[in-house]
Amino acid sequence: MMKLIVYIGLLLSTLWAQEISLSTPKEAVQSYYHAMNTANIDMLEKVMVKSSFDTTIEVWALSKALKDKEFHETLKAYGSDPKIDSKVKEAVKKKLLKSPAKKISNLVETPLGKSRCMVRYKEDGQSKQLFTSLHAGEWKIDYKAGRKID
Amino acid sequence: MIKKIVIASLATALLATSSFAAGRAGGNTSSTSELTQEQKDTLLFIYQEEKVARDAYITLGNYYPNQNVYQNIQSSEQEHMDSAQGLCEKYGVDISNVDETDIGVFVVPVLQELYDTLVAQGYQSELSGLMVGEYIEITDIDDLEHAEIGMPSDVVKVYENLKAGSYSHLDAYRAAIDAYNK
Repeated sequence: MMKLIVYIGLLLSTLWAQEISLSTPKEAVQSYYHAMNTANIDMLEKVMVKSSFDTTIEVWALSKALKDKEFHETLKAYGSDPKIDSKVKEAVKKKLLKSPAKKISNLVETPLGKSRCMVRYKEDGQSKQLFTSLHAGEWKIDYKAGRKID
Repeated sequence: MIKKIVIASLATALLATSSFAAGRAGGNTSSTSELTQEQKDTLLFIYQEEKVARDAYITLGNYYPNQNVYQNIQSSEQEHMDSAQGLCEKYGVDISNVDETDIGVFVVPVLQELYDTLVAQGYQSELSGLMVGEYIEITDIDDLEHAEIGMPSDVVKVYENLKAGSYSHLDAYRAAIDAYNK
């Protein structure tokens, strides 16, 4: 039994490693889309800086909040209590699961200094861009990293 | 909401744009504030986020042509966008990929989602559209009230002026909602 648990653990960690890679800005963007397309909130949290992650969660929770007054109050308290955060994240997960997966292509990196990079790409044919910043060797999605530094 | 994140930067940023400060604050603001690194970093977001509000009002205004309230408020949102654009240029934030004339199109995915959500809700009925406007303005006011805590007096003065603008928009939306319900 113990061997089976260890095996499953190793298998999961291997799969996880295949899904998430933050060694380049392009990989950070690809990981972000993988997390969004698979409604993997934990992964999404890992590929984004905290403020950008919170913004993403709040925006994706908004449609439910506009229809549900009780949830609107819950969303207003997001960030104040782990239980509330879980409820909001669960709502976002449900919404992402219902949303069509998005396909990205033509990723082009534009450095904005040593620790920042803009990635321009096509999302289902539409021009998009995301900014990334470098944290302890990992590139993460950072909505506020659009200004050139260092 | 996004407003909560960027509003502190917006008001401070607007302080640095003297023409805007004179126009909105009636020339009462004599001092300006230096932007922090973090505030500079939010500028592209501010610019795009103002575009969300403007575009939502334009789109809903086109969808409900008999509701003049959207047209009246669009110009104010355009003013905010113009100020934010000037600041992006001043602080070297690349906005070349943003097409201001492309209504309802956003290069940052989360802002596209925000716009789509607001407009989808507004399309449900004329009353829903007005309530989306009311929601945007209430969020602005709430965020400004939180943001002004602990700020220096010159920043608070700008917050108060922005808040007055939002209250005016809120009154307009509520009057339209009342008229619709009669």
